[in-house]
Amino acid sequence: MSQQDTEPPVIRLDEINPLPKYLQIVEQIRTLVAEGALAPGTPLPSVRQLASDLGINVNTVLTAYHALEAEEILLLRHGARAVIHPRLRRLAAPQAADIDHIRMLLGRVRTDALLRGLSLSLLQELAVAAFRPSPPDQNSASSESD
Amino acid sequence: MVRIFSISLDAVILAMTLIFSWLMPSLTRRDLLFGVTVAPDARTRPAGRAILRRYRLQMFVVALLCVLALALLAAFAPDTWWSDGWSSLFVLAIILLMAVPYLLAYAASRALRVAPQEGSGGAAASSPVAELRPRTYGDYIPLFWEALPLAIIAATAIALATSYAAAPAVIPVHFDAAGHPNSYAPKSIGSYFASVWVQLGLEVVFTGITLLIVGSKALPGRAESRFRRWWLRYLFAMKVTTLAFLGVLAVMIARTAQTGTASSISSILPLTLGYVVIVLVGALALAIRTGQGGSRLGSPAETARDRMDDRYWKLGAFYVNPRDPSFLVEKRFGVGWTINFGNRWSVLALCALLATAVLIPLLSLLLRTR
Repeated sequence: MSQQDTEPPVIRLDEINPLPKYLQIVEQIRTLVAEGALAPGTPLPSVRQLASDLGINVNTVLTAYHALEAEEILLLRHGARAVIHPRLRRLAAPQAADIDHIRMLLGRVRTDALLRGLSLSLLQELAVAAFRPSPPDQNSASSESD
Repeated sequence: MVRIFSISLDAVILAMTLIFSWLMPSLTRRDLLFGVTVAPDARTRPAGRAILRRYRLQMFVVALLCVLALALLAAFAPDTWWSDGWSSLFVLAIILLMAVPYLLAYAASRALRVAPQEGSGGAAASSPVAELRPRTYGDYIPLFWEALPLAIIAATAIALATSYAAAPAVIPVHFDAAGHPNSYAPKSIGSYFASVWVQLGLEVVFTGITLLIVGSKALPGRAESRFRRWWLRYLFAMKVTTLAFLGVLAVMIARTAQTGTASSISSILPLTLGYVVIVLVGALALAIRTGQGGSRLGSPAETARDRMDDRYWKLGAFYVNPRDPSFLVEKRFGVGWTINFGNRWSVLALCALLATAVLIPLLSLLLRTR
């Protein structure tokens, strides 16, 4: 029956992680959107529901939702449910500026890896694993292994 | 009549409370023993088995005391003791007595306490998890079902409206156990349609509780979702049957007001008793089927989880966490939900509910004696 019978993606907070909680939410929703686990138009829980389920302050979730709205990943309308932005650019052809941005980020990763003493072959190995076309669904895998 | 009814009602409530208390340790999540986070296999280890054995032995002694007390009261207490409502206090006292075996078992279980990450099979207590899916009323109760309770209220209102003009200027509003009216009020929209106002109030209360449960703290998993759906539908069934019961009662009273015959009213007491039995037995059957949080519906890996820290659970039963915005959370010892005593809105709502529960009988008593 309806959506109740399909497993929805989950979000998990790590209180040992130095990353602020709102950023953990932002990063996980971005990843889920990038990997297609959250399609454009998918409704998200209300701020109150997510805060209650995670046992955190309502403002933390609100900050995360506003940050995602600023990136045009989330569409927030007054009085309506938050949804993954229906006009998400995910499937559009990438612009030159997008490619430059990713090249810059990869360059930083390379520098960081070399500074930490990783060999280029190890970095390549990690990159192949990270960029595998259909990565395993981390969320369902982690909830199964519990 | 009132005596037999009160004795039977007390016996039913006591029996069901004892059965629930006896079974409860087997109905909660496997990583919780008397509200304490333990290893999922703690119940099958010698120390856990000893705690359970002691708890059930003490519960058996409490049960014997209850039977003895009820038998003595049934034999010797005067009729006024039963008709004046003292028997409700007796039931309350017995239920409080049942807390003693629980508290002893809670204290003993603390020796088996483990850090939550061991108890929940690897998931750290410090990693709260949530489903990214909105929960709505319609996910659990199809919205068109709501037409049924509304239709019952409308039917009651129409049935009363058709007899309003013919009703006498003074109508009976309270009856003794034999069905004879013992209190009257002048006919008005307020008094004649009293049952409809009560029905509307109950509709609001039941729907409000359902909405609070829909929004209460949830753990991911299909078993939890099914648990919620089944219990919310049970609550819906209770709402419909209670409204129908009140509707029938209202029509009976209206007929009594017109004809003066009151024999049918006296059948209400056995009907009430039957209704209480059905509600409690239904809850028991459902609790055994689902377990708390759906712990008997899903695989052990899915359901042996409760990530709330023990330090927020006072005596293993009262959740006090001011940092958690949750209004309702899953009970640790019991089937259903409890309030977050750290949330001021939850506490205010509880106070309002208790005040209503005290004020309504008090007001009706004042009105009757006036």
